[in-house]
Amino acid sequence: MVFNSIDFLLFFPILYFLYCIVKKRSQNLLLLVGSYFFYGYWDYRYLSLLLLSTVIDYIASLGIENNRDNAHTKKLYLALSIFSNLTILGFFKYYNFFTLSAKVALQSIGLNTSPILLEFALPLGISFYTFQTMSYTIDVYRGHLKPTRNILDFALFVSYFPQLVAGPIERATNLLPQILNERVITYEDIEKGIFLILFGFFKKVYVADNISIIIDPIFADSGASGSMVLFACIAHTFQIYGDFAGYSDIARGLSKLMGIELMRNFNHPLLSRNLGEFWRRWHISFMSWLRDYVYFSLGDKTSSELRKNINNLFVFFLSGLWHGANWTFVIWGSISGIVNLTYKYLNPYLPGISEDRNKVTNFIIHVSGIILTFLAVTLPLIFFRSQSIEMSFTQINSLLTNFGSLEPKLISKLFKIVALLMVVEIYQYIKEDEFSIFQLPIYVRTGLYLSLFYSTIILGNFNQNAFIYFVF
Amino acid sequence: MHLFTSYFKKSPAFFYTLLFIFIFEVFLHFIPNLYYLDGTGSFFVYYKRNVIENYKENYDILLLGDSRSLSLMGVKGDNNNPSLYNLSLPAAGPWYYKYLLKKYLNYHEKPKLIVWAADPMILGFGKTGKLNLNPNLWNEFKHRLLNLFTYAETWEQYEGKELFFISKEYLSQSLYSVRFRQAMESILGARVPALLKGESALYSRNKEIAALVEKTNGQINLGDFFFAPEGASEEEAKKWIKMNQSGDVDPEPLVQFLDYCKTENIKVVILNLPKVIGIINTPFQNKVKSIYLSNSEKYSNVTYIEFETMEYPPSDFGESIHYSPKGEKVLNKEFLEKIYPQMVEITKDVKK
Repeated sequence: MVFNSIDFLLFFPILYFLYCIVKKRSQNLLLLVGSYFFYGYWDYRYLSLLLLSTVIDYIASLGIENNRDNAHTKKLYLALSIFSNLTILGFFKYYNFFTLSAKVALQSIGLNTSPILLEFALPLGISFYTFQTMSYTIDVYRGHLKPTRNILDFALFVSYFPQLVAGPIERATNLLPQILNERVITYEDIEKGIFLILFGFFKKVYVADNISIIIDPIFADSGASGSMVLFACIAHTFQIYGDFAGYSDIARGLSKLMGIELMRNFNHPLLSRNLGEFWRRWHISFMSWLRDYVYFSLGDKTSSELRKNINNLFVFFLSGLWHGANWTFVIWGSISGIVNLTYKYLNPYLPGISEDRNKVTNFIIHVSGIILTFLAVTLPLIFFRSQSIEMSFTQINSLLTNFGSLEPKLISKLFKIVALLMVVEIYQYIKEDEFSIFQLPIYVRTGLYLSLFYSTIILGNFNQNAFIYFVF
Repeated sequence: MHLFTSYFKKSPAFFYTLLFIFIFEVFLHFIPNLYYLDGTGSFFVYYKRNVIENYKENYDILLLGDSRSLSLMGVKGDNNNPSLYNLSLPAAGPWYYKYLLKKYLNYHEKPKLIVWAADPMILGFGKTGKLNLNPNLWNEFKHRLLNLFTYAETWEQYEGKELFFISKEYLSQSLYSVRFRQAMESILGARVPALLKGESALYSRNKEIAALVEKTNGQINLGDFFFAPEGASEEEAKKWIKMNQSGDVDPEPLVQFLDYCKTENIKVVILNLPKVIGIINTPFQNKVKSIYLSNSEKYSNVTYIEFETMEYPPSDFGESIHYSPKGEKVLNKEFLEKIYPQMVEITKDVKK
């Protein structure tokens, strides 16, 4: 089930009504049943994977807890969890990719093979819930968390529907206590929740899905001029932000209505002044997951500079691979890593904001930083968006050799789509508070809510309703 | 209730937003002929729905069909000639005709004759159920069914999964701003003074179409609007001929329609329209024709009629389906001179 569907419009109010009238213990059971329904509505057969992952991590975490003093057994239980989750993920998401890649590699040395390929759809959200459950057992292993003995509560942690299929990838240390304890729904939660839902739908249905109408033909056109490709890349950055941040906002908003606080997944990344800041603001739950469970596992502060750099590149490589079973994603991740590393060494030579400079100079430096960061993030996304590596190179070639001219109409279309989004984002960014909107006069807020609502339902694109990150 | 009012006291902006939405949506209900500002596809369905629900005239002959039969000229009628109204609509599957007729009968006296002029292709969807649940196709065409019938009228047409599906679709239309999205878009995109003068592009176009359809008793030739005047190419025609080489036929929608007409004691003509050269004798077309013929034998109130010339050159078609301006002239000449008189003959002994 997707948020921007009539099905969800029916599902959530019913669930929410029941949620508000039943007692706390029943609330968890209700949410669990609702979450399984939400997931199974797409394809009930894949619920078995969710259940499998739940049972394995439940057993593994208790195994770790019961063997606190036995390092070897503890490690075995952790290995069971990680191995099982990666096997599920690897088999369902990467089997065809690696098999076909191996076939091509063997072909290049003259060996022809006919491997068996899997012919079923990628289970929705598999990359999200496997990472979430792995973090749970790792946290238990590290002693950051006591495992829950109630399997229903744990199952709800794994399958909690607002963030099940596209994140945020929650940490058990944040979500599980909220599941275990009494939840209180405040007026503030409701107000913030509704705003997040409204803004999330606007980002997804109005911004992201309308941009897709403009740029899909450009990315499909191998003869597109360089200026068109550059335009499409810039628009694509807004699209993917609108799509993914929109989903996260809706997930957080729905949770707030139920008294559950999910972690913030995007913190105005498009207004980052440098790359380091960008990656701290973009897909926060995933990037911090990689930092905490991969990067820190590969080394620590005492590691050599070279080692740190290699680890950093590896994390970006992994990020690319996580996003999709295709070499385009791997290349995108790797290039992003290289760009990030380059920035790290260039940074000391770049002008920064300083009190010694006047306001205008600081403002220019600030805005230049935002634009350069935006471009540094946007250009590698050619690989992220393209259907194939060949197409990516064709479009890069157009950028370098056939820049051509751009239809002004396209720029004005994009401007119309992103203008309100950026006005709100910039206001929130300046105020350093995503709910700073609530401080505005009533008539401005009312106007904003109406603009978000009617832009979404009148001008939004409801024909393309799948969220991009569902397939990751 | 207390929780509700307390909430809005604490969040007045949300309260004002909801209040505005409520007032605005109610206001839209009272705008007359709002559909004139909508996209032409939606407008046309609403226009014909309005003919059914609000026009007082009772037509002697009612022609039901799709976008191709829309080209057939209506007849105003007088003491000697029965009136003919072309109630054809752009294609929306084969099942809705029975319910369209039922709807018409709820508002009007029984016509003397009903003409089934839908293209044989509509019986080629196979046994896929009443709704074709291909999401892309549905998104493209849903307005035709949703705008034609009320929810109550829809309720009796479907059951099970299909009823659930279409109910959800109606739910999304409950807000007028959603139902008339294109109208809202045209309002947002137009300059207000121009809009007040009725100069919105969609409004002008729809008004022009309405004036035309009023004159022709429901007829409009889509080829005059959407396709190049020089007509279809040979290549294009070949594509359609190829499509007609195979395909399953499901006669059930036609049979149900004929059963209904029999129950209502209404005479029926099944009318087969000319097609691009090469199509008429393809296996698919032959299969449908044999169904037409067998049903005209089975039902005493049913007559099968076809044009003398059943094959037109590609240049008489816009894209091998809809008639070009030239093709429409040829078609209507024969229709009015030869087909309509046959219909008049059939209606002669029918008393209203």
